[in-house]
Amino acid sequence: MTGILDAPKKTTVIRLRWPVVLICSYLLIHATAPWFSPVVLQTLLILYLISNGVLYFVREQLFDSSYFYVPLVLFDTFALTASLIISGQVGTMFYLTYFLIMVLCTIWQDIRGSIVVAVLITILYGFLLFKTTDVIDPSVYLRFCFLFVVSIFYGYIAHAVRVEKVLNEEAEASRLRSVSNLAAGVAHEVKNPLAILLQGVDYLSKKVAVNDQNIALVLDNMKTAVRRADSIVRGLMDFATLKQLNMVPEDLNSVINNSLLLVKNHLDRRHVEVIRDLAPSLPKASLDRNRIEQVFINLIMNALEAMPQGGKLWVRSYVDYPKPGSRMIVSEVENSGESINKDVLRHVFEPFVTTKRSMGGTGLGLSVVKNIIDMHTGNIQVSNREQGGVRVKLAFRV
Amino acid sequence: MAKKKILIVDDEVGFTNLVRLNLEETGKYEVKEENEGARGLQAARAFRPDMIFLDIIMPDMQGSDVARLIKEDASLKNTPIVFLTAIVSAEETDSHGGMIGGNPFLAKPVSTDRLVEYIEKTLAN
Repeated sequence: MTGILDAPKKTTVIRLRWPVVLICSYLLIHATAPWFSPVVLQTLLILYLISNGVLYFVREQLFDSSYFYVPLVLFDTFALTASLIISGQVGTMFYLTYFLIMVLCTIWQDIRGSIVVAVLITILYGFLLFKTTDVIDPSVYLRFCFLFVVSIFYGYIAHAVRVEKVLNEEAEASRLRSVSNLAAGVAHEVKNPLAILLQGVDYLSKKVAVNDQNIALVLDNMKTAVRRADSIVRGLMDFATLKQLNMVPEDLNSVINNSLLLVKNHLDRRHVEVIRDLAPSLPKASLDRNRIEQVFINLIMNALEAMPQGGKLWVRSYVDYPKPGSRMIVSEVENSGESINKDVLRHVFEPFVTTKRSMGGTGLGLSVVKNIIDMHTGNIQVSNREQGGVRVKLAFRV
Repeated sequence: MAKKKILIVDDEVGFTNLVRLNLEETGKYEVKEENEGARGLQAARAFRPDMIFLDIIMPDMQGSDVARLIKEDASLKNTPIVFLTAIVSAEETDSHGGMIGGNPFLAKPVSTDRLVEYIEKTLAN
């Protein structure tokens, strides 16, 4: 069920609508109603079939609008009712098609819509049963009770799944918040002892016998250990202390180009070919330039680590219109390296999740990236490419 | 050449001890350490340092308040103050151009070499 709710609305609606449209067409083909000539019936049938085909060309955003979706569902409800009447099939099992319309309703974000349609369907069908059939068996009236109960139940389950999804997202956000508070506290408490250790090692380095190789080695190792601990703590602080951003309208392309310039040496050393596909005259977005550069550097370095033998790195930017009236600037960073294991992918933004522990990875890079993007009220998605490698998609409001 | 006078104010006793030892070891500096904000302020007035290292979070007084009071003192207002702190990361220092409230700051932990380099650079200006 979650799968249906997660798929693009337009695709799901059109697919769910096909059975309704085809059943109605079947009913109309077999209709023998005296008040319609066969030509009229066939025309209606073809128009109805075409109506679902036309939906393929309707903009995706319209499916989010109640002004479009409500009339569509009501239209189908009445079309089915009319087909049942015209074909004289009110008393048969064809009434089950109403459930398909109920499923269409569950795509709606609002449970009230599903309830209204459930009530409407029940009343319509109940009315039809009374008016048009001469069924003697009274058990047939159980059908509209059944229709009502199942429809409401259906709507409720879809609603519950949606609510659970939202709750999960909120729980995840609150968990990340507490982790980041903890991280900030730990980072501060650890930095002071580290500062003392580093100064202590500095002092001993000057004081001990210069010719003792072992002592020099020990001190050197200690210094490296302090630096390593410091880099972990620094990562934690980046993750935790992103309080203020310096938001200024910026050209994302220039931020991307600058980030690529900063890591050029790494790219050259790893023999990575960079393919830039940056949309010209991108509108400016409100960004903290330093932070977003940090994001791109992080993403590019991750991509490099996924391609130890070299490979290709695609960096794209373009304008996207996900909803009517909302414009986003999107950037994608893609590599031709290794894909990410599915289990890891699910937790990829959590702190300390890393595939590179042995190489000194702290697992904080992507949590910092996610934090920065969240603070820009942007979106980030990490997915595996079909051809292998990883795609990271960033979207910023304009 | 007279030794440059450096004052370090930080509530971490271990840290100020070692910074003093390390800086004195170079033979170029005379270092005074204090572990409370208020005492740091008194020391600044009495010791007349060439440069002050100041912790930001201290139990008795915020480092920023100590810095403000030092700047209000006519005879100390030109003394460079550098904040030494564990609450910001190096990235944050960089994104603010290494300045907080008009004062430069260094992220802990910091090596002696970096401290010396910093002192020399600041005093040369």
